[in-house]
This record gives sequence, C-alpha cells and structure tokens, in this order.
Amino acid sequence: MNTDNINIEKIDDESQLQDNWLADNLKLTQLEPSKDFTKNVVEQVFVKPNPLSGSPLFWILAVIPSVILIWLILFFLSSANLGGHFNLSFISSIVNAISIYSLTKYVLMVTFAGLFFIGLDYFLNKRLLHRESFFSFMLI
Amino acid sequence: MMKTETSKLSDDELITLALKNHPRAITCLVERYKGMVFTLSYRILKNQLDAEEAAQDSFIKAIKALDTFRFDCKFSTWLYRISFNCAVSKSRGYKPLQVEINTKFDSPAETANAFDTLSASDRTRYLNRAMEMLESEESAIITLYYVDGESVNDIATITNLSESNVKIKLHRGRKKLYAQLEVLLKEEVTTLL
Repeated sequence: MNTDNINIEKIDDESQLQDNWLADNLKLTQLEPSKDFTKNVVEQVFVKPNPLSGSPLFWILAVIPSVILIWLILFFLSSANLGGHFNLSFISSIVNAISIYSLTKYVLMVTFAGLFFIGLDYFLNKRLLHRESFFSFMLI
Repeated sequence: MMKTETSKLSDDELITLALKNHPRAITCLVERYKGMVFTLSYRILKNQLDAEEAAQDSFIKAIKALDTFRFDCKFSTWLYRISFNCAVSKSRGYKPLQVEINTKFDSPAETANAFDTLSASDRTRYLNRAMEMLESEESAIITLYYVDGESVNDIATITNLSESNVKIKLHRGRKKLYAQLEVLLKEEVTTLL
C-alpha cells in the first residue's frame, strides 16, 4: 500500500494512486440489483404498446366494421318496422339513402386511401430503420 | 444462437447483434454490466430503490441510443458515462455527509492492518458504511478506479472532469475512506470494551 504523503498538486504518476489492498477489499463491496433487474430492462426495451392503438390501421379496422354494423342495425330496424308500428320512418329513409352498394364503395375507398397513406409514410419516414417489417410498422 | 455462445461474445459483437434487435444480446450486455452500473448508481444515490431505478434508466437509455455508439471507446466507459449522468441528475439536491480529513488519523497502512483482522463480511460491511460517508462523486470515482479498474483517463471521460481533477478526487477520497474506516473501527472497539 502506498503511504499517504502525496502532494495532491503533484499527482503526476498514476502509480501513486495504486492501492492493492483497497482494490481487493472494495471488490467485495460490489452490489447486485434485484433478481428481476435484467428481465425488467429487456421488457422495457422491447415494450410493445397495444398493437393496434394509435396506428392508422387501427382506425381502418375499427371504423369500417363500426359503420357496417350501424348500417346493419338500421337495416334490420327498418325491416322490422315494415308494419309501421313505430315511428321509425327516418331509419328507412337513411337505409334507402345509403344502399349496400354505395356503402361498399365508400368502405373500399377509405381502405385504399388509408393503405396508400400508410405506404407513403413507410417509404418517406426513417422511423422504420430498425423495424422488422411493413406490417409490424403498421401495427405499432 | 445458444445462451452460452452469446455470453462468450465480445462487447462489440454483442452490440452489433443488439443493433439488430437480438434480445439475447441485450440480455447479455445487461447481465455483464448490471453489477457495476448498479454499484455506481448506488454510490451516487446511496439508496437502493433510487439506484435500481437509475440503473434501469441508464440501460434503457443506452440500449435505445446504441446506434450512436461509435466504437471509439470501451463500451463500459460509454455506458458508465450514461449511468453516472443518470444518477447525478437523479441526486440533485442530495446533501452528502462530510468527513473531516484534517483530523490526525493513523496511517492507511495501520488502518488496513487492523482491518485485515476482521472477517470478509465485516470488512464489506465497514467498507460499505465508509463509502456511504464519502461525497457521491468521490465514492463513484473510487468505485470506478479500484473496483472496475477504469483508468484515470476513462474516469475523466465518464465524469466529465479533467484528469488532474480525477486524480485529486481519487487521492482525497481514498484518504477520507481510510479516515472513515478508522473512525468505524474505533467505534467498534469502544462498543466491544
């Protein structure tokens, strides 16, 4: 072990700081984090948000079935009201105004427009540098 | 790739794999450095929960910024620098306990000799207590130099201090550590008597 008579301002040689006793004993004081430390870090690095939330695909997947479902509900309600028991004539007019043909047409338009913009974003954005695929990008 | 094979890879090879999002390579890097990163954080924060949180944040930051690592220094130096900064920013406002070093103490050799009569677990306990009494920065620098064997130059990079400043802090820290150990030993002797 070195003696302690070192002039602080003249510590030019690193060997003056060598202290084998301290090095050996301080190694005993190295601490370890909790058992799940590595698992927690890796989980946080590879954290996957809800695979659909916030993505353009989510809106396509969520909005289109919702619109179709609403249209079907209205259609069945208007069919059920053929006898005119309830004052639901406005439903029939909505269903008549939006035919199954036009509904399909708009659904396909929205889908293709959405996919086009997703694709455009894919090719223009460098965020995809470390992503695995086009589909994984669309889902994150 | 098998787990054992991954653990044999060098840091640079693991980093290359980690950049390709290989979870096993990342696990291996974390396993390899978690002890030292946690110890370094603990020396600065002096609190297990905060140190664990800071160590986790350090790894997450480092892994997310892995593509900025230029392989121009050791990975450990780069990682410890992130870890040091994380812990220091978390410790803002912490008031360290001061050890008076002007008091007359026995020489380090005498303190060490007295210390060698203790069991390894007692030595660890006293050393940990003495390290906790040091200023955060001194404690971290001593850990990097004596435990991990980092050079003064690397410690200067990690802590953003000049080399001469690191040497001075090492010297003062070591002196304070021996002083603190002596106080603890004297307390122990008094208790036994």
